[in-house]
Amino acid sequence: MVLVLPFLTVLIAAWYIWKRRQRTATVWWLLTMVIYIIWFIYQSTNTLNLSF
Amino acid sequence: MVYMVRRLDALALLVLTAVLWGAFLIELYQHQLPCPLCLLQRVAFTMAGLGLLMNLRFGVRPAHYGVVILSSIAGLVAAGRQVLLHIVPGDPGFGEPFLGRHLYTWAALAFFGLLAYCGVALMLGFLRRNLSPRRFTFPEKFIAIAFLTIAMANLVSTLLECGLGPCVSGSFGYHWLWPIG
Repeated sequence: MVLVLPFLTVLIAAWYIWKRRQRTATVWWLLTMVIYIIWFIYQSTNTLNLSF
Repeated sequence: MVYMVRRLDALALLVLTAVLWGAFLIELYQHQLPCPLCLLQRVAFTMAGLGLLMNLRFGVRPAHYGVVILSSIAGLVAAGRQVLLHIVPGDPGFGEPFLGRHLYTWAALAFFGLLAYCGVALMLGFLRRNLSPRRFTFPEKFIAIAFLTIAMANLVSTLLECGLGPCVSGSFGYHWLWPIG
């Protein structure tokens, strides 16, 4: 799992808003949302090796 | 009114940006590195910010508030899960509290606030649009009647159960029909 991936896709979405390309930005936002949901399910259903 | 909402959007984006910067500075200065769920909440804040940024860049549109609402729901789910993970009495929670609450609790409140903000902004921003009423189609009329009927049924049943009081009698029943003996 690459947790940095949604950070990259959301930044790309923001970049396209800056470049005034709304449709492309929305597609990247949607992609971020899909990755987010997958990551959340992974976080919620797998035993994580966390050390607090 | 749209102009005012646009200003409010800018203010909301400023607050959201301050929240993200605050979490980042706490990470740097207090060496409080974010957990995976905390990182997901940061993504959700950024996704919500995209919707507000779209409003500033392309004009105020319901679709942009849709982006904020869906992102805030996603963030609320992650923050809410983290709150529930630490809800057991005696659990110290993750990280140091900030102003009496942990960051994920503040995040949950912030996502809730964003959702409430979207409701208000949508009401204010689109007050004068599509005002002319239209006729129901047959299926719409059926659905509307079913909706109004259940609303009325709930009114009547609550009136029968609670009367005009606060409903604190302790025994539940249609007391107006069959008073407690």
